[in-house]
Amino acid sequence: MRIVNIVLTILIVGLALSPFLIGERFTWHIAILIGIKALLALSLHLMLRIGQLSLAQAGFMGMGAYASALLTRDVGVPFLLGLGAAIAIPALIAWVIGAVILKVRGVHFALLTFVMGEAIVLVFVEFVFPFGGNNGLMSIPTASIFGMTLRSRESFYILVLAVVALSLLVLRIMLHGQSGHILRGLDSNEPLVQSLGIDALAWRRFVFAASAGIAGASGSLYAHYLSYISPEAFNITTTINALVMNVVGGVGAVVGPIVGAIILVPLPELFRTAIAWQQFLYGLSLILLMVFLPRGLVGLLRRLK
Amino acid sequence: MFQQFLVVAGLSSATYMLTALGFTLIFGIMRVVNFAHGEFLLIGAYTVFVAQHVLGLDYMIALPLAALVAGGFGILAERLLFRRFTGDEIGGMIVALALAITIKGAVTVIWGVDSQPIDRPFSGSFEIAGVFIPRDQLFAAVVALVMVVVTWWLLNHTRLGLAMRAVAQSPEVARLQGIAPWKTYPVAFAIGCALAGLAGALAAPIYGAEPNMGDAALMKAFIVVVLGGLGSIPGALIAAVLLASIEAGISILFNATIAALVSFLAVIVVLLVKPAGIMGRS
Repeated sequence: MRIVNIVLTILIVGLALSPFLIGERFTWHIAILIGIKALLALSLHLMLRIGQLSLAQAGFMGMGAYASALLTRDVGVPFLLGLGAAIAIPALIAWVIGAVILKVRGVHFALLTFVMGEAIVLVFVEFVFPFGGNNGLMSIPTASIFGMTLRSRESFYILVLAVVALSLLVLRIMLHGQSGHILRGLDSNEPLVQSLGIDALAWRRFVFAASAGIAGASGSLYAHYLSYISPEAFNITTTINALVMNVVGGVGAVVGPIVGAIILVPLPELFRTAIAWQQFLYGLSLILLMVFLPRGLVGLLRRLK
Repeated sequence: MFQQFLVVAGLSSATYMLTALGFTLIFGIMRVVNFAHGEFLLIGAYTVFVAQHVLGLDYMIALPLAALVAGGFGILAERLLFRRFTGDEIGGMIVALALAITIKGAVTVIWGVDSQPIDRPFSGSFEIAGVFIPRDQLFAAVVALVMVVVTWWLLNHTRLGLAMRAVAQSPEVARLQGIAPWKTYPVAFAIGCALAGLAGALAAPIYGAEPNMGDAALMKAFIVVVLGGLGSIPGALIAAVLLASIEAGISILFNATIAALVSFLAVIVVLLVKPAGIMGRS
């Protein structure tokens, strides 16, 4: 099990650095997209770790994207502050609304977050000021740090890598040690956690907020990379794609969603002609994976070991 | 304006009831959240399209056919997929989401994303007390209400209904009484999906058949069952009327998007007061 982890880590680090060796424009583009999508998949992964399926993650990503885009473009806030707001705003909203919707668990929670995700997109569509309605927001400024504009894809990729690495670090801290035990307890035996005098609802709100923050960061990077956002990019399909990444990679380990993103993000970019088949094949492969390989590729590797 | 409100609320209550009834029935009996429920509406609507334009059948024959086809697909889905995930809530939800995008993807691959024309069985509208009532919508609402009553009767006054309610309460105790849950599950799933297929077939002549038509219906079904309490049929019926009234009122005063946002707020408020829903058991 240890060896598999080490091999996987080396493989992923190698892949993460490979664009520097290849150096092609298209490779940079794919690598940046993988990083952004992996962040969203990680945010979903965190909720899955406490046994809850949150279908509002793309909505949180949208909140981050719009917050960061509006603050930098219209208010003139520096990019790093915009990114901070893109993390803080969804996290705060998740924390507040979590007091209500985290009282329910399991299927109720999944249904509620589904409705919530759709409601968030509706807000972007309905309130033309400031969200631009169905047209979305255009000419979002390029990311810049301390006066250094990240205009090239290489420099933006380094930023994406840094954010992914930071998120992985946060997840690692949360999932290990004492808080790791509590989080596992929330998944497997909540009454036990409660009986130890731990406020389970407060912990679940904290995890929900952290997960929304990571999704928000993904949204901010997405907005500043494409310099254009529109509401339909943040609907339920985006959340389901992040879920597919988790299932493909495996929900048992943090590397799972990363592996899933590395495998799944390049596919639609490579097969643009078969766009009509894409959702069908995504769905079919998800069904087959759930039936024949429920623990994902990482789970398979560990079993082989 | 008040008569207008009553007509809009009444017509949409009936269709919400039909969609939410199938969804909550499947959950109540099998504990499966069928995220593909909207796609069974899609199957119903496209069955009508194929029946009319390929087989040349009349709408009145296509309507029950749509329910049968959706029910058949339902049995297949239960046998091949959902049965494996009994007791695994998250696994069941993921497989349902997968089934949803697969069906929608298949429909898109075969017929494309454009809305397909459906011949209307009724057209025009008539006037009562100063309000215009569209004939096609009235027909859909009446059929929906009749089917809700039939399902209600089936559940409460037949041996099959008794068996389904027994399995819903406790599969183990039902087995001790000689009821096999694995024989009841496909029946329940088929009924739930057939109701969805019928709802799709009823909506098709009014709105046309297109791959995303199930999404809005699924949203409404979610709101209705969360408001009413997951698995509770009386709850779903009450919540359908409640949701339809809220939406009709706010759509007339403001617009449809604000109405959708307010219905989401209503869900939050109900959950604050009663987390299990209006008629739900926690």
